[in-house]
Amino acid sequence: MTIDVMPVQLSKVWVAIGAMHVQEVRGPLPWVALPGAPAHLPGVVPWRGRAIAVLDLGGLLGVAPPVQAGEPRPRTLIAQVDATAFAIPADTVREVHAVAEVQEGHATQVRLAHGQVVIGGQVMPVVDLAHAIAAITRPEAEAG
Amino acid sequence: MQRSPVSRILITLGCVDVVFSVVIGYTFIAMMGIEGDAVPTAIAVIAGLWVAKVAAWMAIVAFRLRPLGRWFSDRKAPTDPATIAEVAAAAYRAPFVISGTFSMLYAVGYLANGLVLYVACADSVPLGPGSLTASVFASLGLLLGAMDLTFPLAEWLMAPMIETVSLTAHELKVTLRGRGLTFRSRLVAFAMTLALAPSLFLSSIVYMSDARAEQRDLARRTELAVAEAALGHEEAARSVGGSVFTFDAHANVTGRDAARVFAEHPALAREFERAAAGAPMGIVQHPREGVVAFRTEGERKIGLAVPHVHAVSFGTTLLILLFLVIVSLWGPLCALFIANSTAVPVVRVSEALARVGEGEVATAPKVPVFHQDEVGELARNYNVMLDQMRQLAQRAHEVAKGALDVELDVRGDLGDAFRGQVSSLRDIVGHIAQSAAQLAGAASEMYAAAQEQEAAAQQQSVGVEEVSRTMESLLVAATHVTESTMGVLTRAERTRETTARTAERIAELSAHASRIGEILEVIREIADRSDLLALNASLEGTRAGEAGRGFALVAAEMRKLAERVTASVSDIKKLVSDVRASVSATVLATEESTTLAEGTTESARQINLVTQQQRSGTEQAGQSMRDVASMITQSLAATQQVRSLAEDLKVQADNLNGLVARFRLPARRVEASS
Repeated sequence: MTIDVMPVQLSKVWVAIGAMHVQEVRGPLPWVALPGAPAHLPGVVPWRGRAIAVLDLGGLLGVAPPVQAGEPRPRTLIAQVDATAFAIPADTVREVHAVAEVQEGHATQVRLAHGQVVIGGQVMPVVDLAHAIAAITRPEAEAG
Repeated sequence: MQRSPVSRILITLGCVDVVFSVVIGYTFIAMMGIEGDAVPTAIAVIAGLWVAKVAAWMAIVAFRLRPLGRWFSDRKAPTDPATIAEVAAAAYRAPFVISGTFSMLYAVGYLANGLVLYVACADSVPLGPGSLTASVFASLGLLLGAMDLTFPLAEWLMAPMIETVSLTAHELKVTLRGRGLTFRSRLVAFAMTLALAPSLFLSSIVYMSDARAEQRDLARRTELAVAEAALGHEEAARSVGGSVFTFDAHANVTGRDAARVFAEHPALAREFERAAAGAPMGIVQHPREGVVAFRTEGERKIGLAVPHVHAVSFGTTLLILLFLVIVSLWGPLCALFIANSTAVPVVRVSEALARVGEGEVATAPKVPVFHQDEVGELARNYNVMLDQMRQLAQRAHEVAKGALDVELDVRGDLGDAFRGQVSSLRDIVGHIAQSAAQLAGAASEMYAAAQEQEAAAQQQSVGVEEVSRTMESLLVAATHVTESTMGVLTRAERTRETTARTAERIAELSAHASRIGEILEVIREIADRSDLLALNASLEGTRAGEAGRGFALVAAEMRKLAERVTASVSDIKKLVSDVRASVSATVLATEESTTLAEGTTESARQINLVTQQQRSGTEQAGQSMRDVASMITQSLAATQQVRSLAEDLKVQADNLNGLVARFRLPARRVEASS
């Protein structure tokens, strides 16, 4: 069985996320910081008439510095886990790749990664956005 | 056999004695009227006394001249001053001794002749009255005459010995002080004796002639008285040498002899006529012509005429002739000897002085002191003067050889002047020595300095020539630089124009680059949108499942194309940015180049002006360097002359040092000079 992943570059690290969570890829979107918001959900961005949370996936995975309001990234991925949509600032996004299986490797040492894939000769950890959202919204579940 | 000088003198005087004794002996016999058988007796007496006389004066003279004989017989033995003084005293006394002894014994012998004949031989040799008196006069005359003759003769004979003794005494520096006749006294005595001697001798002759004339006159008168007594007797008359005659009242004489007598004696005839006219008898005497006696006997008048007989007897005539001969021989001989005796020393001094006057001081002879008179003093003073002059000449010769430490013991102004001159010469030589040393040092330093200066001048000349050549090269280079700067100026102006055009083109290029940037930005936005569209298309294709797989692949290819476009745009933008940066830099460089070109142009103008000035200055500098080279050449020549002069000066200083070194200064002066 194959899975579809979309390579996303966060700062200098490529991360493969499941394509079924990605709703849309957009250009740089300015977002508004929310005072008191969680560290990995620092603000909100308007998307299709509504405000969605900004997910600092790089900061969450620990592979990129925290995003800053007023400094939009070149690409913004609109992802949806369950009914919640998130805007993930990224530097580069590649088209969807179908990979055969998720392998174990040293890339799995990245936080919240549950395997690694090789795309175009590039080894990148595979991150499950649902698991990542859960880690944010339910830290105890993550710990369990 | 070598005779001693004294013997020669005795022999010579003996010969003179013999000659004069013969003549004088005869005059004695003639003067005394010794005739007939008395002559041999007189000659025997005279000869005996002459021998005794000769023996006596020879013995006396030989005795008195004994020191001379001893000294001359042993002259090789060393002579001490006392001996030479004794010998000299004997030599200077010798003329007096010889002359006095000889003359005194001559006079005594002559007087002894008269006394012996008068007293001892009165019978055999009867001498008339006045013979002794005449002998005394003759003796005195002979004494003086012999002195006149023998004194200068003795001096003449003694002259060689006196010369030897005098010069030896002078060499031994024995001062001979003795008394002698002064020259004036000698002349006076000589003149007096020269006058008195013949006068006395002539007086004796006259005295004897007068005595004999009186004798004859007495006999004549006696005979005349007898004749008068026997007047008329012819025989008696003739016995007195007269002529008997008769005469008349007019004094006319009859008688051949008487007539001849009166004819030969007219004065006597006139006296007779005057007397006969006034008296019957008488005697008429005429002092020169004779005597006439007359008497009247009745009618007969008779007379006797006796003329004077003027004929001088042969003895008297011979005596006078002998006297004249003696005087004519004696006088010139005396004059000759006295002239030699007095003139020879003067001539010797004169000749010696002439040689001294000609400068032959070293070879001029010493003059013997022949007499202890003014001439002798003159000779002695001459010898002293010659010694001093020789000493002066010797010292001057030593000084000429450089010995300035000589001492001179000549007194007087000349010695003082010489000592002063030597002292001054010492000072001068000392100063010259110091000056010569200083001069030699200065000449050496000057020579060394001249050599250094010459070497420096030569190096300078070489340097100047090199600089001159360099200046020539600079002139050529300046000309080339001027031409090059003209080219540079032209090119700089062209560069400035080209740079200006380049700036315009670059400005246009910059504008194009900006436009390209804008276009690239549009393309990048399109590529970005295309990338987003491709991504979303890929998502949509993925959502579509298998049906959308192809679409997803197209979307992936589109995204890759967009990505490559974006990359290319980025590269192009980067290139454009680089181009713009380059353009900006080029603009800046062009502006700077323009500024530089303008500056270069201005500088080229200034360089051109400066190079022209430099060329002019180089020409002037070249001319100046040529002038400097000429001056250095002249300076080099002058330096060489100075070096040559310094070398000559050093040679002269060395020569002067050599000359000064020939002088030997006294020790203290040498120390003072050093």
